[in-house]
Amino acid sequence: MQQAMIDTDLSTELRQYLGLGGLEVLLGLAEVVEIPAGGRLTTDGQGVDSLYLVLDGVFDVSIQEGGQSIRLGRVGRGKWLGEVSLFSGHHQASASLTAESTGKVLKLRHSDFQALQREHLEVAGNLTRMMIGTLVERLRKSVDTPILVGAASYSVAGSEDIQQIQHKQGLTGRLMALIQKVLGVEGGKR
Amino acid sequence: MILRNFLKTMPGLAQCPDIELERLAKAMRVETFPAGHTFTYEGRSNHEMFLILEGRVRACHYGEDGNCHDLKFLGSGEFFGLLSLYDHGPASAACIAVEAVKAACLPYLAYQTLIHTSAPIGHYFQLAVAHQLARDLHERSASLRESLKQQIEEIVIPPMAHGAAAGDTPSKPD
Repeated sequence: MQQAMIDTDLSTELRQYLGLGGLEVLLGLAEVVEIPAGGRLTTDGQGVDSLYLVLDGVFDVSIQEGGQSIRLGRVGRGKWLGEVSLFSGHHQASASLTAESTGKVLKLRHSDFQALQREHLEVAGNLTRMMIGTLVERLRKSVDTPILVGAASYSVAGSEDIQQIQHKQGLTGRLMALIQKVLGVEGGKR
Repeated sequence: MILRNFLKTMPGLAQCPDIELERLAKAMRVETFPAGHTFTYEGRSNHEMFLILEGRVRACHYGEDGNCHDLKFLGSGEFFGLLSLYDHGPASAACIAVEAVKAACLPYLAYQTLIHTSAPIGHYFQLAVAHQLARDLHERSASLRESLKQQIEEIVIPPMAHGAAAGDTPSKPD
């Protein structure tokens, strides 16, 4: 039943790692959840208890820092979310995820992943292998020489020394570009 | 120290049966390295991964300024040298022993055999590796967020000084 809610491309990709039986096991534990436009999947710094796979829609990614909400970019279909929380043991969201339009996610609670480990070790191992690729890619990108990207430009209020601010904005932009990479977020306009 | 017992204490491996841990322990070579030993060189391929049993290792990255910047210090129970083994790319950081380090080394071929086996140890080992990578990412994210917070505090002029509500000003990333 749930398999019908995953499009063919995504289903094929999942089957490559999990096999047909493994995919059925995963879908038996997970649930498909619809998120209305404007709905929050996670809130930066708040508790998170599930792993998500974006099945449909686009989610806006932002962080709250220094009393400001800073938009980092967006994530879409096929993206896993919450895997760092799951494996690191730090069950706090590293960003806020808000649906730009009605979205659909596959939700697997951390407790269900533990059950998967106990009862279907091979499926848990294969699912983990699938996510390791993403973790490796993000880690490698996060230590590359930082590049200031346009998407990370940042507005400030008030300025006495515009040159100093521009210099600092550059540093801030570089940091934000790195945070984007760590979180696996693509820049881009809404 | 019995390596199997040490492995049992690691996240991801706690539930692994002893007989499987014994297989992993046998695939690893325990060695003591002197302070200053370089395990991996940034930009070069490395052919094994390491698990620190005792001692500390400094991971650093050469920046645009030509200086080596600390990324993190690793201690007992942490893996390093993982990225190259997964994507076959060069090491992204230099890893240097801060003091005498006792480490269990797993050669690339043994590692490949382990992760591609259908035996339980292959799956448990994936979990242990994912734990390490996720912890590394979490720490990287936390450290970048702290730096960003400091930058923002320096940039944003206090609202009262300019009559503008700086704290309320939304960012305009695009």
